[in-house]
Amino acid sequence: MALPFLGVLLLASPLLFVVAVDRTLLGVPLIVAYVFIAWALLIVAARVVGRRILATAAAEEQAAAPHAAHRQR
Amino acid sequence: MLSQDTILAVALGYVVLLFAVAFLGDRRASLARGRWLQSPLVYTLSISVYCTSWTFYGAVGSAARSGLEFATIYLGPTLVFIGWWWTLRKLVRIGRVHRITSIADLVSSRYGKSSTLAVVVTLLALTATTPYIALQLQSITASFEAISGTTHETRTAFWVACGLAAFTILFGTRTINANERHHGVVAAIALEAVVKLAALLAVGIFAVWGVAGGIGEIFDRMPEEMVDPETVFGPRWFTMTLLAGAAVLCLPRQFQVTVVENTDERHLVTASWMFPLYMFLMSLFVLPLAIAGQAYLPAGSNPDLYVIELPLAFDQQALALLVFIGGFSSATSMVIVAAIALSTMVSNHIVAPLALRALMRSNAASGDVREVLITSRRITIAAILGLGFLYLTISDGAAALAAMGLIAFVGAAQVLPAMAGGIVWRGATRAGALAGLAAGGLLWLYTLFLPALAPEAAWVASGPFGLAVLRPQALLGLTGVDPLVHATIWSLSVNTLLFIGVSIFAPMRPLELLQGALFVQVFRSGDGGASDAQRFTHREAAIEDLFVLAQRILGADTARRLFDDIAREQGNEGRLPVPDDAMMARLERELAGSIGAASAHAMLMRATGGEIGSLSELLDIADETQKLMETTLTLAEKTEELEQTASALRRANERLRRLDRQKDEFLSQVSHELRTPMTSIRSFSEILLSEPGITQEERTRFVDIIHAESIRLTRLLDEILDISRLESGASEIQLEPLSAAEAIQGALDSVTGLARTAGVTLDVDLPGHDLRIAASPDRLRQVLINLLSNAVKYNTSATPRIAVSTTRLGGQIAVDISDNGGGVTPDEAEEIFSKFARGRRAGAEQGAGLGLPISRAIVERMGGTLTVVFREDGTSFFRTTLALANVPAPAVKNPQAAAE
Repeated sequence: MALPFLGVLLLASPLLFVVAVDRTLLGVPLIVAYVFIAWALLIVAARVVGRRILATAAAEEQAAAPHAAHRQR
Repeated sequence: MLSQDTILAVALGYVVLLFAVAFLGDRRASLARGRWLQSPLVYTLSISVYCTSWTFYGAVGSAARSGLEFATIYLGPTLVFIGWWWTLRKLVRIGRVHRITSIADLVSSRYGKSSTLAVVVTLLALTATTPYIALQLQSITASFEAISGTTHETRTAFWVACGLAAFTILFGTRTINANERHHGVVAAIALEAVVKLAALLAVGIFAVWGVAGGIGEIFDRMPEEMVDPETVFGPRWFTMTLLAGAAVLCLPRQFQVTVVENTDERHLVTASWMFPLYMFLMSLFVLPLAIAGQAYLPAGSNPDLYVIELPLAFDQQALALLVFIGGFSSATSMVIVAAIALSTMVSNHIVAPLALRALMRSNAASGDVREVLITSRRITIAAILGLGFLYLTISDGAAALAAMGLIAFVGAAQVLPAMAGGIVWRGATRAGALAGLAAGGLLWLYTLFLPALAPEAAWVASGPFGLAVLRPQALLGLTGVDPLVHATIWSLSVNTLLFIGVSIFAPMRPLELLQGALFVQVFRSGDGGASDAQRFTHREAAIEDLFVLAQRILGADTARRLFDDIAREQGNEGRLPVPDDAMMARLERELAGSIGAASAHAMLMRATGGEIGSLSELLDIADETQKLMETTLTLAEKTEELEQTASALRRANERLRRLDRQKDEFLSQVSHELRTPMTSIRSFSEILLSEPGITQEERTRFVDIIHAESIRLTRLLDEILDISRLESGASEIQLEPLSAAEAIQGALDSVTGLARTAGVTLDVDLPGHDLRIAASPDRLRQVLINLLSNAVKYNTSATPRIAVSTTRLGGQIAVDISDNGGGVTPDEAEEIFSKFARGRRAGAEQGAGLGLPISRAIVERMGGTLTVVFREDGTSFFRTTLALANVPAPAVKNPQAAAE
């Protein structure tokens, strides 16, 4: 779950000054395009990671159930 | 322009629709058919109550004023949600396990169910929400006036506030079961989320393609300063990202929808990407709308109203109406959820404790606490909107929407240290949380809230009483910083420092310790069922009293159902349940769902004359700590043990090496010593064999030599055998009490002949006959004879003398044997005790050099010592000490055996 750290790096770090130049991308100022593209990438990544977690969580739950019962005893 | 009546009718129709959705939602939920109501999609849409009319109108206003900066308000929450694994997951689990009803309940519950903390957080939340409510009132008022063309600002705002209050009271407190989740409200909020997104997307598309004619065209008209990197990515960018991230966790309404209304933890996974996506879509057209507003609307238009002014300017009345409904949606959803969350906090943490105190005192059978709570919630909702209206009136409605919202954000963020710290750090204490919250809250009021209400006041510009150092926007000389950044730095850093600092030094009550452990390790305790079962120790509780209390708080029917249910589980169907641990824990959780953890706990404590919390769980924690300490201790011991073993091994190894060297030397010396007699035996026997002509006389002399050398050889071998036995401990030495004088005399008798031959004078001073020593008589004799004969043999003086004296030294006797033959040098003193070493006085043919080592080994085996003692004048003598028989002899030591 390193995603929020990546997010901070992309959107709230001095890295922003790198793209803060007076250019345009398809008519959109580069820094605006950068912020929105990075944002979209994070959303996609979060979705991929979330699906993976759900899949492994289900498997883990099954594996962990007898273990948990044992511990509580 | 649309007529007021049309607008009112549409708004009213929309409200009716919301009611219908809420009603259906509640009914479906109660019939357990509303599967879709509990879907991750609805959950995510309800979280989007984050996007209020600040987003709907204010974001465009903010973009028009400060450009890209508006995006931070949505980037902060995006970062929090994509990082759900770290914070939200834990919050949701804690909320479910501990039946948390609000953020104040969470903080109070974490810090030992402290009612003081609950009140502080409630008051802080109430204050922070006031400008936020004012923001909604202002946006509805302004948009209504824009679309209807009227200008009676205050009057309109008043009626908007009244309408919203009535609407929220009807909406939020319809349900009698105050502890249930608000399924209907959640459904309505989800619908509103769709409406506001659709409206904003519609007007955005209209602005870009309908007005400007394309994306490139709209950005062509963008003023340069809107995306000026110098101003956009400054301290405000980072501060606002942080604040927005904190707000999405700490705002009472966000906590309500994210944590309290959560029905399934897995929904968080969906929300983690879908909620950021929602905000992404909401933000997509904000910048184009701001550019279009500046480009196409008359100069001087309010940027906060660009969204609705744009369709009006291009005569798109239907679109304008949709926008109005969208803005109305954003505002109403925020007001509803915030008011429900806040009224729950007020009624649970302020009204309920007071009501319970009255209830306990009167102990009257009548008086339904529930009724009091519902009424107090209604009054609170009206008061919240009243405060919002008051704030709007005082601040003159001139502020930008975003600025008002940010004031609320900084206020809400003050809860973050106590909340986040509380779920990850077991050491966090109630005193720390209280100190941090109080200081942070006061600093926020002083540096941001109050100056915003009276920006022109003299005390703001030059400090109260003209004290420049106390200027609220340049506290202690912190100048040149944006007021928002200034307030954030001061309030949050002082808050955090005090929280941590006071926590470290403040003592912890048992219940704080317990709750801290339960919260921080919420994932370890499973679903809370097992650990909760032992929450109470047995105590005197009359089940009838509990039943009466439960009826007053939960309502007669619910209480009856709950008690029946518990009784059935206990196997007592048809009777009242037994107030055991599990039953008490469940009752407390049920009550906590209605009146908050602190109140429920306090109530049960009083009802049962109880004791502090869960003794068994406290014991568990103590056990765990104990175990940890034991493990650490064992580990330390193990380490020490290992170190000791290692150094012992090192020592043993060194000793072995030394012994190995000694053995090698010993062997080479033995072979050398054996070689000398063997050589002479061999050479004389060879002569006897090979020379036939030798005379009988010579033959006899040679055989004598061979005989003497054989004897010497035998004696040498005997000695070697003896010393190796002594050193390995193989030969037993039996100690028995014997007279010291007799033993010495016996030895003297043996050497008398030798002494007489050598002309040595013996000077003997014997002890009294009653002095008895513990020794082996034969062995002692052997030692003494060895020492005496050495003294005789190696005496080179012209008039040789030997003196024997005895001295008593405590529990020992010292036998000193001295001679006038020159003694030994200090260098020699130890060397002469090693094997095959001969003193310089010894001639080449005299002895094998084993006498002294054997003597020393024997004496040591008898518990004594054999040393060379030097007098002050440089002369020396041999001293043998031996234990007296009447004192217990020290344990017989064998250093070599111990090393192996």
